[in-house]
Amino acid sequence: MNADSPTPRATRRRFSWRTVRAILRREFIDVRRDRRSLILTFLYPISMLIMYGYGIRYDVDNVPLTILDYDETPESRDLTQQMIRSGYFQLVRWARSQHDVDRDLMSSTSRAAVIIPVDFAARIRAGESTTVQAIIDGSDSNTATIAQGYLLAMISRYGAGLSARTTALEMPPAGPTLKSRVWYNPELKSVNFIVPGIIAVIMMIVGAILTALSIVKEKERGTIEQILVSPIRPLEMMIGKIIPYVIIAFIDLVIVVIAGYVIFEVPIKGSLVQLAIFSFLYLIASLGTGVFVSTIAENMQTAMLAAIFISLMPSILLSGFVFPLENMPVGVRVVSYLFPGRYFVTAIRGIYLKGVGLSVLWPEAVLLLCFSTAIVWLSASRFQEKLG
Amino acid sequence: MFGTKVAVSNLSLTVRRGEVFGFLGPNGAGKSTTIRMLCGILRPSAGGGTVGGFDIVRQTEQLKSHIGYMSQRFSLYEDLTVQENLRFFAGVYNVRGAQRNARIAWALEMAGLRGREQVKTAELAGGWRQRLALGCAVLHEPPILFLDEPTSGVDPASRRNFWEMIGELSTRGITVFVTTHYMDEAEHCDELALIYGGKLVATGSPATLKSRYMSRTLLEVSCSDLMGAYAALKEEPTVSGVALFGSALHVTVNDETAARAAIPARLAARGITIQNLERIEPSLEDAFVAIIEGSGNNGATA
Repeated sequence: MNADSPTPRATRRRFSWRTVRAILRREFIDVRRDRRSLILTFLYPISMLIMYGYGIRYDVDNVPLTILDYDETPESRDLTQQMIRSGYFQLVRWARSQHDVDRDLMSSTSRAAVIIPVDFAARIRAGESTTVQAIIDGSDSNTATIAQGYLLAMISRYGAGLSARTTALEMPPAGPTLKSRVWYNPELKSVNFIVPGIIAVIMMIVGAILTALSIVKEKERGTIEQILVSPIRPLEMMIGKIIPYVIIAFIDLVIVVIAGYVIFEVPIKGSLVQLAIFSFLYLIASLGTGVFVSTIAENMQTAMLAAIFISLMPSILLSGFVFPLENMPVGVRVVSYLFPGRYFVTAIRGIYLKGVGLSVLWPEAVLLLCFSTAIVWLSASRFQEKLG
Repeated sequence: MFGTKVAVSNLSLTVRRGEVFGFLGPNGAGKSTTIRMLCGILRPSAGGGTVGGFDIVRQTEQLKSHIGYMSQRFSLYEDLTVQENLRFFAGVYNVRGAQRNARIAWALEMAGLRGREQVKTAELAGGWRQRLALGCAVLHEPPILFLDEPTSGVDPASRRNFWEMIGELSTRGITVFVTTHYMDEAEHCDELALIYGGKLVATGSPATLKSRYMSRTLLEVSCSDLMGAYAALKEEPTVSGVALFGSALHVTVNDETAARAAIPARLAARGITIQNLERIEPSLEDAFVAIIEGSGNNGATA
């Protein structure tokens, strides 16, 4: 140790916004110059929106249908025409025999078949009940269930039409009847459900992946060396790295909200302010995750993989965005509570579809806040350790 | 004395203010590790030191604003222009206002990059990059500058130019701590320390080292079969050391007259013809070969 050097005059540096600004400005130049990340930042959200918006639909229409009409009467034609015109089915062929039906279903040319018995019209005219057979390809269970529902609805509507016209039929049955009404998304358009979910995924990508890559890039290129020997404090570095992506994520949010409205006519029932509040909370969580990833990854490939693994996949699979969490086994459901996606997806759907806000969604807000605080604290302390 | 005193593992160094201190040693000898500890990036496992009066363990933050650092690996932002890099580091080191512009202008001038402010750093040739890196490292006028193999991978003309810049900084009172394994560069230093196998084996000015470790006479031998001659002279009693130097052998002898007679005789016996045999002034490299051979022997017995 040295005894003969003078006492240092400099005092401990305070947090400097000037330093943060220098980092921030450089980060923006970097984003602007790096075409690839620029494309990733602005084109990806839109292409995601379009892909998922058109791609993931729970609505079933144009189900390929084979019809075997043994009866060939005005009555049977009336029923089949109603099916074809409904828009839910696409007629593949008029089958000549049971064999045609089997072949169509086997080769997946058709997903459903309707067989009308030879005495269909005769029984109706006689005022007797008759049976129409529907065969549905159950290999895609989702489509099958929905197609079955459509067929049932159409046949019963046909029956109801008959009973209204012909007095010969018996009176409607007494006792309780079910009248269902769909709330919040009355047309049951799945795009209304998908668009809010996409926002969750995009926020996660921009927040976690871009932030992580931007920090790990400095390690990979060796520029971190010059940062380490400079008096930049870890907090200044973190804030300087995070602010650009907060701004970019909000631009992306606006793009997706507008594009969802323009392309898919998805309205927002709730307030934009509520949307901004929840997005901001969620964004902090994703940025924190990004910083966390950067502290474990040494190069950009690892960072990408780690970010996808701990942020993107959970936000798609464990958030309820694509697959309903209620249907998952208990173990998976428990795990889903560890990721912020599910809170945000619940919240944003509430805002979009139900028009609710903090007064209803406060538990989600609290949980998001807890998660954000925890991940930011964890990342910051790891970041400090690595950088300080 | 205002100086920089450091202790690294089992060795300690004192660097005086304003001098160019050369830290020499082969790759893997611990040069970069030492520099990283001195810069406050790496915490020493034991021991400590002060740089510019700041403790390298407890006062890293203050220490970092009083030093400049440049590493062998180019670590400026390649996708930024020359000007943007300078501005970035001005921001990082809190150099502001009129002083910022003056310092940036000065750095551009010194690096010879005036007129190329808008060139992307990635497009600069090696020598220019190193000079820009040096400019960025001294933008905040640090009293102490650490250079870790600053000229590795740079052409000879640029290397010379770079050392002129170092000399200029030194005359302004900046203490320069530089690592290198180029012996010609070591000649430019005021003071040298040689580390080998993680140990300090010699310190002193280039002149001191040459005279202290090379009190004996040095002969240069050019001949037909270098490897054969090397083996033959190892066995010659009048010769105390043989080393390969490019296309010749450097032979250390105690008694020049006796050796001048014995060497041609021994080589002739092996059928080796001598093209040239003359007395030369020892270079730093000769001194270091002698030092390392000496330390290697000590190491074996210790």
